[in-house]
Amino acid sequence: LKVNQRDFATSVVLLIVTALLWGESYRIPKLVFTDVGSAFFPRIVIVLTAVMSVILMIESFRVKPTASKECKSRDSAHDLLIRWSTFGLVVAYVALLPVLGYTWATIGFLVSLMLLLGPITVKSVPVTLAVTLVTTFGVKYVFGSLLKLFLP
Amino acid sequence: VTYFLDTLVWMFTPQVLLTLILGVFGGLIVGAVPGLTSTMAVGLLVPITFGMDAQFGIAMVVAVYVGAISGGLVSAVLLNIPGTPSSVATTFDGFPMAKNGQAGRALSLGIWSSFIGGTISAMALAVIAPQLAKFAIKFSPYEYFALVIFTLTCIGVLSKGSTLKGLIAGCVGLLLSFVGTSWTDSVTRFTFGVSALEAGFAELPVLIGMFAMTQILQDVSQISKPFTVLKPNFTIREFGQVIVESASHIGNFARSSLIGIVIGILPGVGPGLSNILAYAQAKTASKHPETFGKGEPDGIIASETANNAATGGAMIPLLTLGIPGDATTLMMLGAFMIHGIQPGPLLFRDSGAMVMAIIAVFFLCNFLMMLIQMFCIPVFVKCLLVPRYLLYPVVLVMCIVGCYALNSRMLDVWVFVGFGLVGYFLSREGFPLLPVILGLILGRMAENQFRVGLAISSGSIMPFITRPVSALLLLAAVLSLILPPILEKRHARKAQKAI
Repeated sequence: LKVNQRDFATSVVLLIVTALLWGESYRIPKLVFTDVGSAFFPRIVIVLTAVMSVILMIESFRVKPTASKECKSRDSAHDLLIRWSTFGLVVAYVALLPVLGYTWATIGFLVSLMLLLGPITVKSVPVTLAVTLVTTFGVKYVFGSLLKLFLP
Repeated sequence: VTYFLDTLVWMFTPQVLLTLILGVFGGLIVGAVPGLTSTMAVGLLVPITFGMDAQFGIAMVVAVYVGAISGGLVSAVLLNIPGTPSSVATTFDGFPMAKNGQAGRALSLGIWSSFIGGTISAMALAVIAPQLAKFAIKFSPYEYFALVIFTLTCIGVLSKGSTLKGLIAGCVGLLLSFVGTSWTDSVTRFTFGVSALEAGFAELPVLIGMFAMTQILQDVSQISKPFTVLKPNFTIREFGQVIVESASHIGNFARSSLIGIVIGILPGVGPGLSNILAYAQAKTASKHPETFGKGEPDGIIASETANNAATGGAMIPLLTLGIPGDATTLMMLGAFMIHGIQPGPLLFRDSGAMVMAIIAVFFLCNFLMMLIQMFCIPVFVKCLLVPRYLLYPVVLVMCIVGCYALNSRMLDVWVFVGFGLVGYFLSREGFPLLPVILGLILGRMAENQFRVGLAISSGSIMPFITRPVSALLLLAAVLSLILPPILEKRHARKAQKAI
């Protein structure tokens, strides 16, 4: 029996989430002056989501030939490395913003991400540094001085 | 008349005019660069407008929207890569024409068509929106609830990919909207004990995360590939010739504008579909369909007229009903929200000056778009050559700083990052993202109207199905679910018989 594993896994995740939300909905207090409580409408949507997740699960067992080919297509190791390194740098940047402050965290983030994504040559490094400095101080000026908004 | 004169005076003050020029110019650049979309452009701008006067900020958002939709033309013609999804059909004939040494003619046709489409849709906005607002002001909670259900169903069905996944995505958005304090009775729910979630998810960080961050995660591994750009060879003289020549394409302009406006009004679709549909119709109506795909002017006219016409169309439900027509107008709704403005029929009654300003700015921006493109094509060509490994990190910094600036709290930045990741996985598994966001934004309104409706009718659901407009909208929602699979099966059966 062929199964579209991704759709199957997605439907399982959705069913777990709906079960959790259904349980949580019983902790919502019902006020006496309202006809229907704050749990009523969410429960309708939870049931709808669960029903559609079951349909998705059933459909995952009816794999079409094209769909199975799609399932087999995978990102290359290089693609995965670049994608998740980018995400890791974003998480590190956000985590370090309150510690290092906007200026240093942004300079570090921009330099490392540009070097990760682009080529490292004698010509590209000065360009990277120039774009980093212009962006960091440009954004600081526009948000902080012109628009009077707070920076992280 | 007073509003009109006030708007004219306001619009032509140097500060506003310069801002609109910069907005359109910036939008054109973002639209021209493949990978940066109009949704991303407006998303980046919305937090910046937070520090501005509401009318001024929203005018700037409109300027960027008009520019970004039109900018896709340049890369479609010179690179064979649509700068935005709204220019996909432009590549079919624009690039072959450019390869034949007629890049200047292709660009001229595109610019003129964008202007015509945008101006006709601005007229439609000016005529249809006030009438629709007059009608919608009579809506009760029953009609509003039915309208939201119709919108979510439509978006689920019309979104790219599986209908089932589109509908699940809509429900996921609704579930997200329940997190935090209920609008109706201020009861806190689904926070799992996390006090930071009591205010619910702020819409803008979710929006920007799902559209900008997700797209960067999708594209990031392929950005080191360099582009080969054809020479534009654009001259003002050729542009003038195209204007004269366009008189013989009036039918195509009219048909494509109409398609664009109608598609723009429909929830969930917009410029992205309108250009392909108009292209297909132009080919069907043509006396020489075999020339399409080989540099046919009608192909470029259809695509570029329709995508710009869809911008005005998408703004009609946004302004009159508070329902965005596509992802970019969804971002615009965010701009209204951060200024505490609720688009809808009351906006026309209570803030007539603001509505007049938006419509007038829309007209002016279409004209500015044409002028700027006429004189700045070489600048946009240069922008195509800026490596994306320099652009994407800058975009990420602007998103993060923008999300923080909204409420000055790091939680919003983490929401941006988290929903960027969620959006990436949902998108990878074939779930459209627009229904999720729309569910989140409209979910609170749907529940509130549903509960108020029930309270008015003492718990009876009958008014939802007996009031004519509400019943019609709910019926349309059901039909939009039932009809497509039936028609698809019938079509497949016919095709099988033909074989």
